Amino acid sequence: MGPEIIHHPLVRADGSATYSSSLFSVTAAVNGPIEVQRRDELPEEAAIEVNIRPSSGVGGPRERWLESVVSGVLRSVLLVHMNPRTLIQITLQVTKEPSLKLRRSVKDIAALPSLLHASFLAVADGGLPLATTMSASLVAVAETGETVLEPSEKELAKSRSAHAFSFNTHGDLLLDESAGEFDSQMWESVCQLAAKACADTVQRGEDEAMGNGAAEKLPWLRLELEDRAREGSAWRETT
Amino acid sequence: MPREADPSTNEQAFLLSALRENIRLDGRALDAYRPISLSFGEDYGTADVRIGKTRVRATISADVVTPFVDRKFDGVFTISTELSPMASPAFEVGRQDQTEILLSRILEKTVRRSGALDTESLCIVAGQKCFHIRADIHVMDHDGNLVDASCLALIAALLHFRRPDVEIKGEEVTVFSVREREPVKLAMQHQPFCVTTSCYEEGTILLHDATLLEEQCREGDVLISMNKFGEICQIAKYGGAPMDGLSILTCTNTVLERVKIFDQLVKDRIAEDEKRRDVGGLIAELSAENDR
Repeated sequence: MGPEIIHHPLVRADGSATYSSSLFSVTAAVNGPIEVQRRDELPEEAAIEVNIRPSSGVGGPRERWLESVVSGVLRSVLLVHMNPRTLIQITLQVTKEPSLKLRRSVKDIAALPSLLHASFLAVADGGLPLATTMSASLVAVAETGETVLEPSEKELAKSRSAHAFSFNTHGDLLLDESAGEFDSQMWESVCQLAAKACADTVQRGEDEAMGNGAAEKLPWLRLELEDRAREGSAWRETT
Repeated sequence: MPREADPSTNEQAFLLSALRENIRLDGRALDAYRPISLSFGEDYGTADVRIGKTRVRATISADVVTPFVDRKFDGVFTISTELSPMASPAFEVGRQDQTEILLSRILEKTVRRSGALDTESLCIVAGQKCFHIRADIHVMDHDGNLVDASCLALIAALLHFRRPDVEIKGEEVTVFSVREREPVKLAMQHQPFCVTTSCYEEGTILLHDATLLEEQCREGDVLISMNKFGEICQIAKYGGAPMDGLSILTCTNTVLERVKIFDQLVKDRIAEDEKRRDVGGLIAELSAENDR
């Protein structure tokens, strides 16, 4: 079971996507490449501007931090040198948040995968040049030392540490943010788990053909993108 | 992008010549609205309004704060309207433009200053604790008529919202979470709605629910807010072509008809949503609210 995705929910934005996981629901809108303000202009690549808007209240320092993290990851996913001296503007509107009271640091970490997936899907929808496909995952470590992939609200609230990871198709690490107490050994195992999970969402498993598909998680991100590509080129087959 | 691209001269002339023959580009009657859809979120207090391609989302939240010193018996109610590039690339982050100022001012006048929300009911302990009700208007898509859509979303969200229940024992105040006790509806005194009338050809052609293109070509507009009893909360006319008193009167009459439709729409949707949530008819028993 993958998260819920709506492609192109908005009309005015160049690209948009709504991504809802069990914790967060985010609508992303991408405009770009558009005219850039003189002070943000980069001579050899496109500037990336990310705006995160919480569901209630105005954004503060935490949102600014999340913005910088998201734009850092997107910079390594987008082919920014294709559109120099332009702006790629991404607006992320959070529409659902966990109702349980979580520690702010844990909540921020938990939001990152949803924010990244929403913005990536919107960028793909907007037809911006991409270097690679990326995927993110959230791992929580329970008090017992047990690692939980894609934890629920309750599991997060009781967790000792939370980790957000992002990998591209080649398995390169794009993002590593953690909150809470953990040691390097724990991080190692969490990282491996996350790498496997990320690879599963973008690649078809090698043993899928062998028919043990029930245990195998579906590569939902890949399937979504393939569906979109097929829809997009449908006109070619009809003419 | 600092501002919205202006329509070309041809586009403008075409639209205006069509209007002179009482035809709108999308085939609507002059006083007709685009299809309106109103839906509520999973949580209490989120309303999503779509008028044609325009889409506005209103979110209400509540927390406990100290009341203002000069208003000891009143709760706090704020409306925040921040436009983002999501609605249109012409909106910049962190810079208020004309549309945003106008939107927030009209909402303030229509909903807050008309006393739609009874702020006295938000007081918990006089001078010490009260509820702060915060309304956030998120414009997701901008295709004209932002003010009407935002006002509709705001009123619907306020009616849909439930604040946490409180219990006062002497000096001690307990605020119950949604899981502990069934939350309470806000005390609304009336439901005002705003309707924008755009005018063309020096006020001889009047139309409702202008699209973005029609807004860009119009000569002036009148914003009228009233409730279903025909009580006018505000009339705003910021510049544009002059209008005589008689056309303002005809305006208010057509606005009243429209407001009645809005009121019914919101009432129907709220009833539908309550029915959906009321599984097994238990909500009435759960409520700890006293009859007034």
